[in-house]
Amino acid sequence: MGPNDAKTVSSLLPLNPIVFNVLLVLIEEERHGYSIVREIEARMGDGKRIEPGNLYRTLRTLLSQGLIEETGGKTDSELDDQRRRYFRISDLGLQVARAEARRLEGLVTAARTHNLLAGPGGRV
Amino acid sequence: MTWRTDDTAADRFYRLLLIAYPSRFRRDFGDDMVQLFRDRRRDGDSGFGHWARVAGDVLRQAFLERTQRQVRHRYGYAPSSGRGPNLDGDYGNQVKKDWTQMFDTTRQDIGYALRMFVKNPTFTVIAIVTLALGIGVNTAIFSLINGVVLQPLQFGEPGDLAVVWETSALEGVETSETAVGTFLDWREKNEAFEDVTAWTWDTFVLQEEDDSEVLDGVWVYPNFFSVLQFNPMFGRTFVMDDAPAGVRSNVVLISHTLWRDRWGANPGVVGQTIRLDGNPATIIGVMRPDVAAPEANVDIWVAAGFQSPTRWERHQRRYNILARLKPDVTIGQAQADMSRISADLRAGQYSDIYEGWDAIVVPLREEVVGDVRATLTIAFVSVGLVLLIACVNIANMLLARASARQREIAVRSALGAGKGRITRQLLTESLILAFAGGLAGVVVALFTHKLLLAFEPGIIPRAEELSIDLLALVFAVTVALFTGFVFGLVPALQGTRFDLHGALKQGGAKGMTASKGHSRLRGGLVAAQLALATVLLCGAGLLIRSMMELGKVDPGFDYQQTAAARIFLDGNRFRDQAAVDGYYQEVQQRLADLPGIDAVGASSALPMDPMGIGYDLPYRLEGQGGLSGNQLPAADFRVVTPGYFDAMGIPLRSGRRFTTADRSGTIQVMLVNEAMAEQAWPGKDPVGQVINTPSTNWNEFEVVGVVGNTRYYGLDSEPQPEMYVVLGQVPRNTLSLVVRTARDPALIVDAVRREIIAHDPAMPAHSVIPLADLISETVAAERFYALVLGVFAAVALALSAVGIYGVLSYWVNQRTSEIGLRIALGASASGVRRLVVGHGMSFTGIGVLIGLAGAVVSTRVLSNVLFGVGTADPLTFVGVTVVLATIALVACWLPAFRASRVDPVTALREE
Repeated sequence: MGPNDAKTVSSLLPLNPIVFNVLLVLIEEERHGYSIVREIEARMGDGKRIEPGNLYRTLRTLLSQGLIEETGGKTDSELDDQRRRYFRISDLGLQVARAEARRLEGLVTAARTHNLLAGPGGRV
Repeated sequence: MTWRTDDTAADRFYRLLLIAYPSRFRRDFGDDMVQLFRDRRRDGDSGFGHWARVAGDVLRQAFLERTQRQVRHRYGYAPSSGRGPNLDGDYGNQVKKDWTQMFDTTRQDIGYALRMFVKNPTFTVIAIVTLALGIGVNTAIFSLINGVVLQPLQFGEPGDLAVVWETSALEGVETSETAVGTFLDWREKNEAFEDVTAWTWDTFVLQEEDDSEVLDGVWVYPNFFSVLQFNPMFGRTFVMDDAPAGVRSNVVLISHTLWRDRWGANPGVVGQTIRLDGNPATIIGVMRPDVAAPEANVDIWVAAGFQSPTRWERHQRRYNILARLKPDVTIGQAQADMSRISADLRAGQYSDIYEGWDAIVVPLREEVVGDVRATLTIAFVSVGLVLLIACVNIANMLLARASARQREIAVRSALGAGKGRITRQLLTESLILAFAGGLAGVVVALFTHKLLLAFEPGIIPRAEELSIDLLALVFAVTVALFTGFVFGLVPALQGTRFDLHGALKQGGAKGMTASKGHSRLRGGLVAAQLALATVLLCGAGLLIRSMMELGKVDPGFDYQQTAAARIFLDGNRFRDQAAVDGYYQEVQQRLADLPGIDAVGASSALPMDPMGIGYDLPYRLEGQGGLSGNQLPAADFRVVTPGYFDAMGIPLRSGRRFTTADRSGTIQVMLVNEAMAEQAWPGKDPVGQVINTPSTNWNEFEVVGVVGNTRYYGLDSEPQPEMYVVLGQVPRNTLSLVVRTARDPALIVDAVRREIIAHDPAMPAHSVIPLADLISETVAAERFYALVLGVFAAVALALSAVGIYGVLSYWVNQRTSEIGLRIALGASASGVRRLVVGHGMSFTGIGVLIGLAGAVVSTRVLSNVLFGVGTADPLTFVGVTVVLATIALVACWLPAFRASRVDPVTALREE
């Protein structure tokens, strides 16, 4: 990681939760739009939906920032025989996700020192 | 981003919504977004919540995307790109300010518009109701048309499919099915088609251990589904090996309905063996729901293998032919190709069979949509008229308001409002109005659509596939928006163009009186509206009169107390005519023994039964030995049992009826109806005359009696000549039973069905229904047209009444001071009322006159569906005029009454 990269990475933090989630699900494997959405929704489990506009604006931004890359079109045999665009995380994306994770870890540590995570409802 | 052929209406609507995004973004991601949208819907997203989320997403994200682009465009940075200032930065503030300002102005406009609406609740409610009716009814009908005419058939590449008929000018046959031999020749020798297939209706008995059921099915040539490019829900379709030539095929496909009702939607059904017409058959696939291949309501598809054509198989014209054009071959070229083959056939070995026969090629879509196109055109024109009337109303109301608001607008511009600002304000009002009307229109559309489908009697092909079309909704709302825009704009432009000084100088609460031209324009619009309503009312009136005439027709038999049961005997089991006769005799006896049954009979063809196999035969009278073929007269030929005339209530006019003594071995006897008597022996007594028909090798029949005429082909048909012969003397193995009861026929239907199956479990009745239902089905189409046009006419009438009322109220309002002056000078209340009513009725009169003239011309399109009434029926036209005049009078009365109550003092003081 060069100094410029480091600067870029820090300029992008903190990440919007959706952005962070997209990067996380793309670490495992390359995915198409609907696969990303389903995975994130399953993880969050709060019943909130990510609609197409929201997702693709996020992906557009991530592409232009170089955090993810397109891997070309192919079909998903589980769904139908249409060609879909697949995305994967880039090296820069991975760095940013790591940096965000560390940032969050720091926050969580701080929360812990204040006993916020000690018991139900935060009470000891 | 382009529209795809497999887009559903929802997909297309979503694509339309995407217009909110900048085109660049749409190009990059539009297709992916639609794909995601489809995925979501496939996985169960639907309903209001889904659409609300989608709409919210589009609004929010498109706004953000556009803002972001604007920032990038102006300042060279994209907010939140991580490389420049974001929206909270310095430049962002400017953008934010621009947006806020625009947003504030819009909010102001909307608020002002809403206040104006609340201040004029009558105006607002009438405008919204008017728009709702116009948009709603339009959307419902457009959905119907879109579904039937504009949407593709469910087969692959339906544009390449064609139907091929045989035709013969010589025999007077416009379109005929085709014989197996001809089909095989066509298939082999044509150069225009990729492939050709054949199918025909039949009934099949599905036997199970303790029960059996008659199925409506089709025999299809094994390439049927590959020609249609149509796949089953699961399993496979036929291949050529499934039906080797001359062998009864033992594989079948079943319909979704049958699969669900008989096999409880068990997916393990494929591979199962069933007994069909006494033979084992294997189910190889299940169809998708709601398919119409080749038509709706097929229960089962059976592969048919054809023998190499013998002479006999060129006579039996019973197969329908479907063909798929080769790429780049036109219908015209295919027609030429088929005519070439027909010419070869005419010149070939079987020239006697093919003499005068040719082939015609018709695009499948035309065939399916066929006659309905005319009906739908009528519906579309009617509905267009309603929308036009609604738009005229709105235009009128907005015009009236614009005149009334000239002063207000003058004040606003005097206070510094620019032209653009005022135009924008007025347009905002129009658009809000159109939007509210559109929303209410959706409700009306859903209701109308349900109503239409509930009353649709099966005359609209593929009705089961129809739903309210989002595209249709967009269409209607666009029309409404357009109306709102155009007529909202006229006053806006006028309002800002006129003489500011003059308007302000003109005192008084009423502001400027409307210019003469303005008021004449509005009167003209109302007259036009009334003319349109007159046309619709005349159409509806004619259809209703026609229905009434049909109700009065005596069909020649008594159908109120009878029920009919169709039976198709299995030819393999009942080879011997004695067995057939025995079967009908026994089953009639069993039915006659049932409690509540007064008479039982059977006939080879029931009246008005689309499944009846009635046909006409030539006959030869004594002394006509020299005539043959087409020179001979012909009459409908029916084989009946002795009890038939009693069961049907067909009266005997002279001579005697058939008895059980008329059987084979005795003199062959015949009954004729009055029309036949008139045709064959005019002025003579037919009883005792002798007649020959080809039905039994030109044997002689002696006429023993004359019975009454019946309208066999429908209430609107003329009685045809008929010959009746008796079962036993003439063989026939498919007859329909008729039972007569003193009770409600609907109550005995089940008992009859049970009795027939109890007699022979392998021979269930195909259907048992009250005859009255059969009759009512034949006029269902007329009833439906009358209903549809009636609804339109009622809506048009209501809208026109509102129109008259609105214009006249406004006229009175503008003339309050004039009327006050008249009253002050001694005019009586009734005189004032006469003045106002006279004004209203003058443009009513003009409108109705123009409308009547239009109706005389335009109701001609109804000539095919009218019965017993001419298209320019004076009674209907007078009736319509009276109705319209009455409604117009009522609409005039209220403003007239208000005018007569004007207090001259108040009115003059305001001046």
